[in-house]
Amino acid sequence: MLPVEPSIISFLISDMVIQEKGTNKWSAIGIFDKIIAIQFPFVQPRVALYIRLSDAEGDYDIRIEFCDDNDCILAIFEGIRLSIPSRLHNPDLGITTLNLPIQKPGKFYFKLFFNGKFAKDFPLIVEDYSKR
Amino acid sequence: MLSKIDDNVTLIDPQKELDKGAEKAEVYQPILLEAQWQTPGLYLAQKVAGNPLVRFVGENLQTDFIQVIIIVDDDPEDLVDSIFSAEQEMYNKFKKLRFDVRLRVIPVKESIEIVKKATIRNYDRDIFKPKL
Repeated sequence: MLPVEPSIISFLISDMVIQEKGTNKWSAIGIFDKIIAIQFPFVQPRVALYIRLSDAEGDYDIRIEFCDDNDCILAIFEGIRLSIPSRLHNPDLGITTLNLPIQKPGKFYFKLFFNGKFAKDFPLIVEDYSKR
Repeated sequence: MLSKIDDNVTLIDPQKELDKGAEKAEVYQPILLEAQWQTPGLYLAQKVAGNPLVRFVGENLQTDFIQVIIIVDDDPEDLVDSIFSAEQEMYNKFKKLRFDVRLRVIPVKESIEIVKKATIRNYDRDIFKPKL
């Protein structure tokens, strides 16, 4: 039986995510949805993502695509597997990613896929400092 | 502009926040989930870096184009085939992304310092080769 399609109840883009030992509580530090850069292209050395799901049950391969507004895939993050025993849990996870390439200003999207099926996208705005 | 941002700044004094006798919270970063975004260059590096003839894989980002550079000591048929095979997979994986792969054959005695300048260094044999 295929796992149910989860709902995404939180998706945060931040500088850092940390998890408290013992309580397993996550904290996202430096939450943002916009980057202002002095020069292009550039590589954002560290981007942390926090994802919280609900209505999920079963095994999920999570894949995140970083796309521009023409649906051009610039980078992919994959290899995360979640096993969720029952819908009573609202699982969450934090991912620290390295070296996100950004070629030019514009609107970009983090697109989430569960078991290869598109779920939802979340925008990231990138602006040119000289044009502000 | 800045005054608006200042409205959202919260100052926390750790000495006042921490209850007397309370243990300092222990936090850790999810190192296991820390990984690079997969880009065409990283994908190629993962596919071919096991070959001892591969010296360097890197990416030069431009605003509308990515140049993937691979430097090898020699170009035997099987290595070239695996590079072009990986290139085809890259075109399928990174839909709509404009990039090409530049293969350079540079004998092992020659320096590649000038050639290997890249925005992202995905693989450098001088760094990753096991020390004997």
